Amino acid sequence: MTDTITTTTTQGVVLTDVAAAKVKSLMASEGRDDLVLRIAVQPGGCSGLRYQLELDDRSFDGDVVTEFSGVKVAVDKMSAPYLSGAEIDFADTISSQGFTIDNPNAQSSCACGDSFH
Amino acid sequence: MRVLVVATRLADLGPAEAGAAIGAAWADLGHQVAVVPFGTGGAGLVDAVGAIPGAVVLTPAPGASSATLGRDLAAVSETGTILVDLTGDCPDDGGAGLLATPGGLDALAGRSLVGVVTEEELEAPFLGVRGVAARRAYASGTPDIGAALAGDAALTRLAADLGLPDPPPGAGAGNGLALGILALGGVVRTGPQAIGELVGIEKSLAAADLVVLVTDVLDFGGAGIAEARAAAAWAEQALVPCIAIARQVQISGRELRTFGVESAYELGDDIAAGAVRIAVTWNW
Repeated sequence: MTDTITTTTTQGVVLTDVAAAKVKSLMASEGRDDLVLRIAVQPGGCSGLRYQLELDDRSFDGDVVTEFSGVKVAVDKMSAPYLSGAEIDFADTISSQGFTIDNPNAQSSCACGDSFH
Repeated sequence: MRVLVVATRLADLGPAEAGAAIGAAWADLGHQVAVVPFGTGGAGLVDAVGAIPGAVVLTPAPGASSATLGRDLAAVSETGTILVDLTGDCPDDGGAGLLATPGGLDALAGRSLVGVVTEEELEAPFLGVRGVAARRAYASGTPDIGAALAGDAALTRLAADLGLPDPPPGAGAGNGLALGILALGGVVRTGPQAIGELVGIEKSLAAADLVVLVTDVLDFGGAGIAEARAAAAWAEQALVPCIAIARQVQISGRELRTFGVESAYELGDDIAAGAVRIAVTWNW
């Protein structure tokens, strides 16, 4: 008998099942199935860095692409070091709705939740 | 008592004149006074360095290429210390035009070349998420990761071509023009650091009992604040008090004390009389 060991990597970005389902529905609403969810870090915001999340049909040299439940998540090579182990989830509650990013690399974040350091 | 007066422009007086005018009040009380002209960038830096022999400030013309700066550097290559003011709107070619100056810049060998940057840009990275290309791409208002990556790749090649494949902190200052200064063997400093090194401020600080900042306006909106921070840092280094004297003071004593200035005094219309009024209260 062969044991199958499943490990969870924390080297790249992790997309939860709930978030993957939401991304699929967004792509379906656009009538596309060739897009990737691109997450990037950009300078700006009151804490110095902020996230950029978009559906993208481009690929760039050095992209790190990981697939979760049929959804491809792309991280560019500049942003990758800042997003190692980050988990993208989707919240749909009375108090909040939208994608959330839990990033272990963030030393602090702004009260608006939009930027981090 | 020995008083170190660090002075920017005051009303229509240049830094050296302003420092002498205020310093005279302490000198008349029998104290020793040293005046250091002072500026953080722009016209204030040009004014200050203009009063220091053996040094010159060049201000890069804004635009796509730093080639003009290269020609300007070649023209002043006989000067002992050359400061390049990177606090304004600088060319964004990373110094490529500068390094391609016809005839080369070998004449700069042995000269002291200093890129003067703001305090905020002293550690500015050249590459990466916080680098020049990323800041430029995202400052455009229409964030595009593709443009940021392409720009960063081009700057990575440029840095390697200039012999700095791993650009040090500060190389991203002045729209990335600091890289060109570093590639020429220069250093990156703030205005106060550069002037401090030029005049040998360490020796004056070691002897000082009081640091007096002279500036035109000191307000909570930013005017004179960088100068006050730098003067207070010098005073802290010497473990002596720092006071500020300005034509207009629009900041509270509580805020000033948060960065080390004991008190700020507003001069009246008569600068000499105002200086005497303040000097007699800081007199031992």
